[in-house]
Amino acid sequence: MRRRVVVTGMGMVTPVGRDLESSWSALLAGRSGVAHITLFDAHSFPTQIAAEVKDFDLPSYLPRDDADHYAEFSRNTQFALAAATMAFTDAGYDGQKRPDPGRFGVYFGAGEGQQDFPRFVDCVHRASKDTNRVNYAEFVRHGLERLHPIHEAEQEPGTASAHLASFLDARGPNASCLTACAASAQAIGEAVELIRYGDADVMLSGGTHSMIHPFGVTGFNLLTALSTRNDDPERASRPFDRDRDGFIIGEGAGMLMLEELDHARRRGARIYGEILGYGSTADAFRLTDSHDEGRGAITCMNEAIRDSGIDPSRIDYINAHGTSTEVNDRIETLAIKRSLGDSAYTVPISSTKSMMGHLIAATGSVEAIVCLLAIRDGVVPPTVNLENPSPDCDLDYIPGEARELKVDLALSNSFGFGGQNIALILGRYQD
Amino acid sequence: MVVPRRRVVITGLGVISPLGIGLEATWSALREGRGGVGRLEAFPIEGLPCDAAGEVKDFSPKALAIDKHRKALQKNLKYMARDIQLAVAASELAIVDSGLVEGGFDPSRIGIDLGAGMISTDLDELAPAINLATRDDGSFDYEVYGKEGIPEIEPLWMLKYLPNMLACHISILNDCRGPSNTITQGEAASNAAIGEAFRIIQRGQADLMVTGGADSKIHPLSFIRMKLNGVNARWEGDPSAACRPFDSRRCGVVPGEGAGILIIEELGHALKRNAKIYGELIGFGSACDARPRGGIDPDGRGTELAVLGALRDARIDPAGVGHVNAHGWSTVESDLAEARAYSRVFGPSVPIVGLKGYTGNTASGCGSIELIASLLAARSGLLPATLNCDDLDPQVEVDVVRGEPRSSENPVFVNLNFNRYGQVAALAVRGGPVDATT
Repeated sequence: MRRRVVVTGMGMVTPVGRDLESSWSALLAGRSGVAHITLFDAHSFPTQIAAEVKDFDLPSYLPRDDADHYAEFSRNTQFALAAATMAFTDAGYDGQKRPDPGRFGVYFGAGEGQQDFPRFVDCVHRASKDTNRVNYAEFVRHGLERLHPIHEAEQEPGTASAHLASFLDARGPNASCLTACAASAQAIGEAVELIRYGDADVMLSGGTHSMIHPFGVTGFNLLTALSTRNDDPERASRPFDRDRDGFIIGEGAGMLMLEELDHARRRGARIYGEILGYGSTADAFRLTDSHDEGRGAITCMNEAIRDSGIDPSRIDYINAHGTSTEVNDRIETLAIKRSLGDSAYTVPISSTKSMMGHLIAATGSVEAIVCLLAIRDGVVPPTVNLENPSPDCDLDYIPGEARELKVDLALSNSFGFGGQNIALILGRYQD
Repeated sequence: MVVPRRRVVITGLGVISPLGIGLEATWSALREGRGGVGRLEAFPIEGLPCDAAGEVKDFSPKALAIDKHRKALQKNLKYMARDIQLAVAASELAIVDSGLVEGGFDPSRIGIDLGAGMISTDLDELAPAINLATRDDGSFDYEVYGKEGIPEIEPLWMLKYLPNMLACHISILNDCRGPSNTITQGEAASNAAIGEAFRIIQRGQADLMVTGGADSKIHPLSFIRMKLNGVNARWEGDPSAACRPFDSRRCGVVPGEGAGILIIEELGHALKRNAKIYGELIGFGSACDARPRGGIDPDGRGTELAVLGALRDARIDPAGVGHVNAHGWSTVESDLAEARAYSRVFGPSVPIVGLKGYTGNTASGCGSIELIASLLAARSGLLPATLNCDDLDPQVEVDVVRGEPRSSENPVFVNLNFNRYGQVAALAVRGGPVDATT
């Protein structure tokens, strides 16, 4: 029999809460984290709103000298440090009691760190102001003088998984993946596989990302992927609604301590639930659009279901990718119907992006956590702002308010830009 | 009960590096000790910290395209940064080499798993928008940037630089609908990707995987970053001698570029279609140095853990290894750390080669490029010499192959790479024909 993988610790930093429980209660209350952008002056951008993590303060999560050490590190790294510390502690570990370093690994889905915008544009301008073409010799001269070593290094997407390995003394398997919006769900799936295979007994997994910076908003605005409902931020992310007009960028981190079942039982760890199934596919269709019949989405849900060995009619809750773009919500609805058949019409589905926005590479991890908390508490968060369902979105999306519901099995979908699809099946732990 | 594992063999190779394009060019350069590092030609300018570089010359992705892909490739080239172009072109070579041009596989059973790095943006694409928004006193006007700057930028600008786009372009061209992943861990990335692809086939999630990695550090921002982070080579003589793994006078990293793509396949699947087999993946291990404040552990403890993991996975002893293809990054500390780890695992007798003297640091591509080199070495029974290791550092207490290529009978090797944060990925491979009965 294959090794079973359970979740024994969780932590998150989100636009609706500074930690796990505050984020969860905000989601259950239907509170939106979307507001005008404060991280930079976006008032003339096509999109001026986002779901920011408010008043993030690393020293309130870490010992003072650690917080000082990481003070200049990227927002990605800082969110990851905060959420991972929470998850590690939540799993019953601390400075003395810790996993065997060689059997403890890290697998994150993390996005690129943000450009050091003010310094970068200054260097580009100095090197190109006369001709609008960058003189490389000038650029290198200014860059060597003006760019910041840590800010440059921290743009590499893989750094957070290395920093966390150092911070928590995790010397086992280590990886970081980046498959756009599927990344952290994929990281969890692959971390589960590493434990199943026997490479590690404990894995810290999840994701971290912030794209709320000038070039992040520029890039998504140019692709016309973002909502421009600037005058009504809290109602801008409206998955499955007729009047949805694009997604809202969120930011934050979700971290899970994954543990081999016997290892968890031996140390008497509290078990939130089990990761039962993982599916991963590619659309292989177009760079910018998902396949118009949801080909990859359907097969990835089917793969996850097959991997878990459950009957799909037993799924109690789906945390949808539900981005609030025209295409995603329509295709995802279609794919859920194709994959689940008749039970698609009865299973409650919600998109927590309606409140947290889209955490991009980190989104799959916080949504997996939402599923596990739903299993724990017997209540599922709503899709807010769903006032007039789109005609092709005709399933039960839990509009408006949270709902009491016993959840034993949950499905979480994450679909990445470029056609990577990930589905996870999470279940109540049963002996 | 031990369930027999599905076996995974290598059935197609595509390589583009400073040594040239394709297997022949690569192997003849390695065999003859001809390196591809020289004075930077892409943007020859004054004031670089060091102007040695490993560049890919005469590269035309269109010319390397499979006929039926040429039109689509041509159309999409403008959305591909150089890293992506290198990966796509190398994958075309690998698909041809594997005999899969005409398909003959179930699209849902072929996946992709690549190593890729942060891709630096083309500065000229942003300069007009930035200049519009910069006031005479040098301060930046966000209002003007938002209104007038953003529309100056190419609408698909971001797509050109996303690390997962290497895999997306390749999966679209070749209809790979199985698992797709992109590992972003600097120099450890492509080995980690190959290891993961190996496991994906082992556990039955796919029968075929396109894997490997690509990167280009030939960009002014890469040169700046290397200098700011103190890893760049400080060499002042002939640039072809700048990268000197394990040599006493080694002085840092030389930027490079390239792509190595492998087609790997479940053994039975390969046998059924009479595929050419270069070797078998037999073990994978990854680890992290995890020093309290980061960086490479001077004793190479992550390297040791990864090697031991790969050997355990492969069920072989250190004595069963014919050679180690080392990271050989050519910095003072990292080469020594690595040598210490090998010395503890293997003792003084296993031959070690380091190939970055030939190519410079191809970063997220280095694991796969070096793995391909070792497969070619195993096929010829000849280990290439570690270029520029003229005077072995006396503290390096392992057997570094240098001077002349050395003959080697044992086709089993370990290929290992790590990055400056101490993230390590190691693969154990048995080169040459496969005994399907064992």
